Amino acid sequence: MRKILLLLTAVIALSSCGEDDDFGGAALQSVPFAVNLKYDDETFNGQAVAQGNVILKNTNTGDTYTLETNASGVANFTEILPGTYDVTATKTLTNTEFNAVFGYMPSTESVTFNGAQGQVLVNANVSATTIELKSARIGDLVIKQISYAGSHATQGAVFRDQFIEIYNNSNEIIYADGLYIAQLYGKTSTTTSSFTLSNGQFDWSQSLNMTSGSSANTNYVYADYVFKIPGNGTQYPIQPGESIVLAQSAINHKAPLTSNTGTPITIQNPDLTVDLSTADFEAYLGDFRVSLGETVYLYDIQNPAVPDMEIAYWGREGFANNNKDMILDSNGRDSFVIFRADNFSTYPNFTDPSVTTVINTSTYFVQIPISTIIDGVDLQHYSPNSQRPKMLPSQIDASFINTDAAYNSQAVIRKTKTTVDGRIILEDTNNSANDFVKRKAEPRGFQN
Amino acid sequence: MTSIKRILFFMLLVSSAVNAQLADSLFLKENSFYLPLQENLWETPLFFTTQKLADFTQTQIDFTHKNNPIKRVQSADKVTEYGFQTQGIFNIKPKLRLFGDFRYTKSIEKGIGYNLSSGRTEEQNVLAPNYFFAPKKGNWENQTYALNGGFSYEFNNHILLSALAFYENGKMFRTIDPRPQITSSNYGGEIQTGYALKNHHVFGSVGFYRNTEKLSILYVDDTQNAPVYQETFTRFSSGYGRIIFNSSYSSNITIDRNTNFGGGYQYQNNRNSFSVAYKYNKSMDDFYGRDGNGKIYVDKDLIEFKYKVVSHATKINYFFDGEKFDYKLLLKYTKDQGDNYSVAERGQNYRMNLEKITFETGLIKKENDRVLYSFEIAANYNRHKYVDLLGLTQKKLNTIEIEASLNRDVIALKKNKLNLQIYFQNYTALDEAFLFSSITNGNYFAENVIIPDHGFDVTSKLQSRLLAQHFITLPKNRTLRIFVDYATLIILDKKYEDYIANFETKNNSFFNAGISINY
Repeated sequence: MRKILLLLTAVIALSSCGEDDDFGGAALQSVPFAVNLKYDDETFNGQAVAQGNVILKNTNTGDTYTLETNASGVANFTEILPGTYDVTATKTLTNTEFNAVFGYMPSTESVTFNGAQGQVLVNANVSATTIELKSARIGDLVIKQISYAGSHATQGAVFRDQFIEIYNNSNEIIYADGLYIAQLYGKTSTTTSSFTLSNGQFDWSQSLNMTSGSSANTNYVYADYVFKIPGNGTQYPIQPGESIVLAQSAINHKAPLTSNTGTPITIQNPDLTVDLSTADFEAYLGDFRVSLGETVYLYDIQNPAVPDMEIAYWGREGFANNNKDMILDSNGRDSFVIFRADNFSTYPNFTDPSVTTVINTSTYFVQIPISTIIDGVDLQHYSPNSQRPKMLPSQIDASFINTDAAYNSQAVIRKTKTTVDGRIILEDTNNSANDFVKRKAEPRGFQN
Repeated sequence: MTSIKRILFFMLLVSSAVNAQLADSLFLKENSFYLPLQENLWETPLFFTTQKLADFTQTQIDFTHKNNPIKRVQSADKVTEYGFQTQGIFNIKPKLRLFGDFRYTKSIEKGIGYNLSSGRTEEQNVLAPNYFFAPKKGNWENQTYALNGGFSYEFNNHILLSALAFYENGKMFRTIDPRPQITSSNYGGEIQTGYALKNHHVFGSVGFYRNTEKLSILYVDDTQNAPVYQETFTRFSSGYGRIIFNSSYSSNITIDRNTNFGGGYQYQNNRNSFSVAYKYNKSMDDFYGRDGNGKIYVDKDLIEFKYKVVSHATKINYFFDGEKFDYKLLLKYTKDQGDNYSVAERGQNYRMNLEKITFETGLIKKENDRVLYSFEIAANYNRHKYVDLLGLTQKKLNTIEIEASLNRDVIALKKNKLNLQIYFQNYTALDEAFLFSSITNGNYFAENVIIPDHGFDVTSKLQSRLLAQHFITLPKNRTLRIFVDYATLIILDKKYEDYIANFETKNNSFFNAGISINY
């Protein structure tokens, strides 16, 4: 009998020795959360931002909470659901207000400050965060429209009709000559790892041979390809209120076409796509691919009447990017910037930090200083299940924008802010959620 | 050992249970009255070490079709099922008994919405938290095979020992976007040991099982996985009303690790068997998401959600094995508590409490091999409580089910026997309370699942069933059984109107038919 009792005791002891499953007893319910806003330390001495606008977006549920900061620069949200949040903060000062706060007159009528933090955890143990607002760089040239979603796969033009439109938002002629357009590279999920930052984005400081330290993440972005507008400096003027359209293929996508392999392609529903035959520039990689010993991509159809953009970067020499054309991600996992640089060819390039050993198929991404960027837009995946971390700092784009789905004929297009003497001025607060809307793609169209 | 080899080995084992019946032994397949005894044997074999049970092997094929217009939202409109089963008891020696079963099932479920998981609300009011769903209804194709077996042995020094083991393997997929594919592997075992002193037996047990489920959700048209296409957009339920986004929809792993222990006492003499048993069970269900590279594997750091269920079950059984009639009585009390845990938020938002009191009793009177009558009644009292702090949902429900059944061998010839059985079950909600308060964007899950399901739960229902079984005696002591089972479910009141306007009131029907052979 003693043996049995011993055995039973052992049996019970064994079954109680499970893994640690103490849940801690914390019942999830709404919690208070404070967001402290301050102007950036470097330029504005870290002064508190009064009456700043704070938006919390719950990345788990899509719920948003909006509040203004008090005189001490604190937005006290009394009850929000625990979860992970994207926090966006903005503040716009008129030149008079700016002068009152900082003691000098700015060169513009108003100054916008932006700040953002991604994947901020809010729970009973985390009740506050601080966001530094930086003055947004307001460009004279702006990205007006990105048509990346494409159109219906069988009835439209799939991704062949993608384009980017750049707009002169100033009151002076600006020459497109020498302007760079880059597609940025980053992680496509917010999951974290040893080679990521806390918001899930790559920690580029860990890239092989990186020497920039932590500024690799704060002072630079990384592009997988870069185009350059050709010209002698005064060859391609953009009038105030006018734009240039950069097409993947500058053809009328509403009309039947023949691919480079001779396959006829019909368009079942022309209304779903666009006519890009009057685009100002197109991306043509045929010659470049031939120089690599590759064939020309079947849909990279050249329109001789439309000048080609120059290929400024398509991967490190010997490690060319696999992209066969300027194909934008229809899901929305790209970011785009326009910038100018005198010494672009000297910009270094790196593998992403997940790469520990370089192999033949490794891809290198060119490092672009944020200080050179004129405008930029962070796109986002249309599905909240597949969100990605931001690539751009808040002074370039404080948030992100997306279409409703892929291949749905939509583009993201900048809102019209006002019209002065017949010239349309577009919204430009460097906050794409505020500046853009999603709607049917329309080259040179406007969103009122 | 591969799965196929396991099946062949087990079938060989079961098929070897040839005729070696003990004198005056009880044949568990004689009448449905004895089915609870077989369930008890499979569960607590040590209570049967001194009871004489006849060897049998039964092999069966069957077909089932269910038409369920009256249903909870996350279960199927229609189910068609094909099954193959073989089971048996084999008394190798007076003190050593083997038993087990194998079942293969293939089913087609039609019209399941708001559910991309393997769970169904046909037999439970609320799905366990942590599952993906999309509103659009779709059809599923499922197949499972399950092996279950064990032995019991009494040593000469009166020490009792038994072991149980099982293995289940399943695969299921949906045939329309979104298209989940689920593979599951479930195995476990239990060891029981005890001591017999004259008519008294005591035992203790410990068990473990592990169920691994791998889920991947694909779209033929991936653009449909967008909020703008609400019907096909995949979301994640984390509780009962808390709906969130989850990037691991494309691939994830859930592992349920289950441990239990228990003990019991039994008094048994020639005619009477009385037993009391207790079992504690703890289930820990971990949901593993993707790592930084988008890969999925089992690692503690990848656990996103947990769900723990602690169960207590106490059971009192009495069985009288008489000369002219047999009598049985069961009293059972079970109590379950389920708690979820979200790793990112470091807290819990969902709790489930279930209490169930079961009373069953029955009498069977036989004359030689003929069942003159078998009469059974049962009552189940259930108390449910489901709370989601972030839903915000509170649901309470107290219900009672009253069951009665009667069966009789209406024809009993030398080589032919026909048994007819009628069965009724009345379901009534005695008390209920429901609260839903929206604290997030969008109430569509509550409006389309939680509230209609509560309407279903509070509505009284009556199930009626008729079972006909034809037994044909074959040479070499074999028996062929052909059976047809038909049941309907009707609603008895309109309490659903308090919660849902468009409630389907067309009757449910159930049809089951098959053939089995005992040898």
